[in-house]
Amino acid sequence: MSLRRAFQLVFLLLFFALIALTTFPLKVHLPVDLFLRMDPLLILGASLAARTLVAGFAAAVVVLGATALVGRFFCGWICPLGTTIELADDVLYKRRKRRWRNHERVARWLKYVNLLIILVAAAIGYGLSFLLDPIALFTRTMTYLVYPAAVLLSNLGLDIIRPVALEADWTSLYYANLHQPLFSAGSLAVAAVFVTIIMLNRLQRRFWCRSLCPLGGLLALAARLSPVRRVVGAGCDHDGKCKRVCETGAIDDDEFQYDPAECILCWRCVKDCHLQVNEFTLRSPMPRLTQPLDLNRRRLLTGLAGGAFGALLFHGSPARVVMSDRMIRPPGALPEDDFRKRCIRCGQCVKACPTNTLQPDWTEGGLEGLWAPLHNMRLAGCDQGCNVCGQVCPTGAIRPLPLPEKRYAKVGTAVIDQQRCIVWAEDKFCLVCDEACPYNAIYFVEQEKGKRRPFVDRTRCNGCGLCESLCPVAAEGAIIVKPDGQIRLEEGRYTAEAKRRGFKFEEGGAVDEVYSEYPVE
Amino acid sequence: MELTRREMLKIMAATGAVALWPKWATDAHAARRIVAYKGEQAATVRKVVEELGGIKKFIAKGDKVVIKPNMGFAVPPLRSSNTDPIVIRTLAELVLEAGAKSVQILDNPVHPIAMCKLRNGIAKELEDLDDVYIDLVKDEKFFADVAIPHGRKLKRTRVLRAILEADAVINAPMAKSHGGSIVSFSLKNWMGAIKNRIEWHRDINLHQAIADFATYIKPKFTILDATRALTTGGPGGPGEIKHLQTIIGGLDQVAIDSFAVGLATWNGKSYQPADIPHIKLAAEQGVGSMDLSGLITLTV
Repeated sequence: MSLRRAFQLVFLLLFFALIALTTFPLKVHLPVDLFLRMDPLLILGASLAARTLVAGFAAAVVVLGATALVGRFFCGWICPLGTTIELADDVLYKRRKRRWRNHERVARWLKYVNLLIILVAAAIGYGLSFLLDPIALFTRTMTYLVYPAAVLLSNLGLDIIRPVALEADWTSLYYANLHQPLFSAGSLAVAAVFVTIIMLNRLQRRFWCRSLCPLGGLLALAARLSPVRRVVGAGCDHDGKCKRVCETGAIDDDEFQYDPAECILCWRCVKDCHLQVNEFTLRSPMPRLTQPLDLNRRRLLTGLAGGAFGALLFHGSPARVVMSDRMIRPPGALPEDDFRKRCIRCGQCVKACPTNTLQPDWTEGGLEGLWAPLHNMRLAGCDQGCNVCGQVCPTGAIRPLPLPEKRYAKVGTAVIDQQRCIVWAEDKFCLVCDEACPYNAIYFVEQEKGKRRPFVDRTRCNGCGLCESLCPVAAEGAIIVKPDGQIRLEEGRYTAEAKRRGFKFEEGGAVDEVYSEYPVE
Repeated sequence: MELTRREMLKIMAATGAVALWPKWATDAHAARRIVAYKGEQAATVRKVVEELGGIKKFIAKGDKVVIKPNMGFAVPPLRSSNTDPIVIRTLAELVLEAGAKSVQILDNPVHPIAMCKLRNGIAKELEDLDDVYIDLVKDEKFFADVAIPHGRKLKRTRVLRAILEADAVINAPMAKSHGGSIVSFSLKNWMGAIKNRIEWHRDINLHQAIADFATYIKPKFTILDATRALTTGGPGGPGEIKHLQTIIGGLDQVAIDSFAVGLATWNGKSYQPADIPHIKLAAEQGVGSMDLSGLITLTV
């Protein structure tokens, strides 16, 4: 195995491990969002759209700066999607005839157009980077698709050995059963994007990286500045090996010239040359680039227009103005407009959520809300001793809040549907919502003689949804959390805002102390 | 002294009755007797079990034992929504001392499993005990459908398989107030052993379902943890916690619950055992007796 492949595998495993560790309780010293923070496109896109520098951008600056110095090492050595594409290609397509030969330059300019679309839309004020950024989309593939699938398969495996475990008295194994996260049809769309990216290898190896990846486009621009260049020494016999093995087809037809913007430092030309005449070295003075930037006026305009159109799509959508009653964002989510600009749909919050109440959006928020996290309170309430979603958000779309602040980041207000509540409508005896409420926000008032009816005290309900999750009425339940009354702050303290509005969500002394052992602050 | 024939016959009958007093009648009394001690948890649990006849009376060597505590709320022990970890630990120790093969501590939790494990402090308290397995179980596959032959409304329900298959089952509830069933003691604790609680709430009368299930489930004995009773806001709390410092043990769950009713006010009200419908129904259906006369051994 080559050194590069070893690096790739290490980073891929690290990527998987960090996603597996994106869980509650979070180990604070682990930067679970490392790969997302290393991604200059995500950081740039979110910062530009939100008109503010996203916190913790150092790693992204390092990646971009290092690329300007040595070239696209990130693509060739680190990017987990790139590694996965290569591994999949080795297995699925390597022996098959491709649509185009390796060194043919097919629509390389598209990646710059994709980049432009994202940056233009961000400059106008809309976050589009989530759609095509490789780290965001690959993280999303893991959190929304691979992780739940892995749990499903593990449980099926455990089910098979369960009878054996029972016979053999291996009690721990008998009860071994992972919590199955449930996700909406949105996962299917995530799968479609990923499968398409893999299938593009049919055209050329790493076709996605060569021609479509917007992060690749950004890094390619930086790589053009790099003083480290490939040089072909005397004695080259033009056997064409280098241009056939090059991972990204960066080497020209004549074998001498290559495009530093396309080169991902895979080193294949150096290693595979039977004459050993290829080398990478610092060139001074820097040679002139032989390949012009793949952007002409038409393509530039396409990118600008695409970005503007993308922004218009978002801006013109009614979902931007009219909120659905089902749009309960995680506690600490920025005001909706800012939230959408920053949220990159990586799904880290959804993966980390211990109760599975956080779900990727599919239909509620329109196109610009696609895959963003929403609460499904019917599935589970929001645990009042947990604040992990804000801790794992790489862009600050959900603010990292200490527990007492998170508790005051009211996400909505529970509403009782008197037509369906079995106490109101059927005179049944039930007070499950009252039992479930951690803040005593449900109270009963005698309406007619002997008929006590439940009500919600809006000042004590922070929308945690425990009532909704447990209501015995079928389907939607008769008590539903709606976004009304939510507290969404760009900055400042939720406790202060809640106090200003006369809200109070308190459990009482000792409990807070014990809870505070677990969350990361 | 002259005796009429009638009196003579009475004396003879009485003498005969004493002489021939069957063992089952004594056992029946022992089966009804309940014991309540005040004091520090571990020692008190041990005293109560000793007073009931010792753990060996209930657990045989090699038994597979299931303990069913309340541990289904994702809150720390101080909230009193779960049975105290030390009480559970002491019971597990006793069972192991009697030579049991294994102890499973099981509950079908109300809150998410992971969060319960994180906060209820039970696994941490018992981590050094071998052959003890603590599991929170929600998934359908761990339950089996059973008939409740003496149930009035509840005819079938799905119960934790392990409980059905165990050699001995011990009930270890927490004393709590309860929004639905007024109190949650021994009888109510079994709601954590079944799968479909919604049905009990929504489709049949909750009290009747509790009483019906009590006709089916036969724990070897019950230890009710009333050391820190949750007297308001139960079962999940938060609520007022009354430090009763009492452990109540016995074989008759109706008697235990009837006794516990009188220990405190529940959600601010005083109750007689017969005021709690599920206790009254359980007594009616022959699960046990609400009549406490001559039953209690109480030491302060």
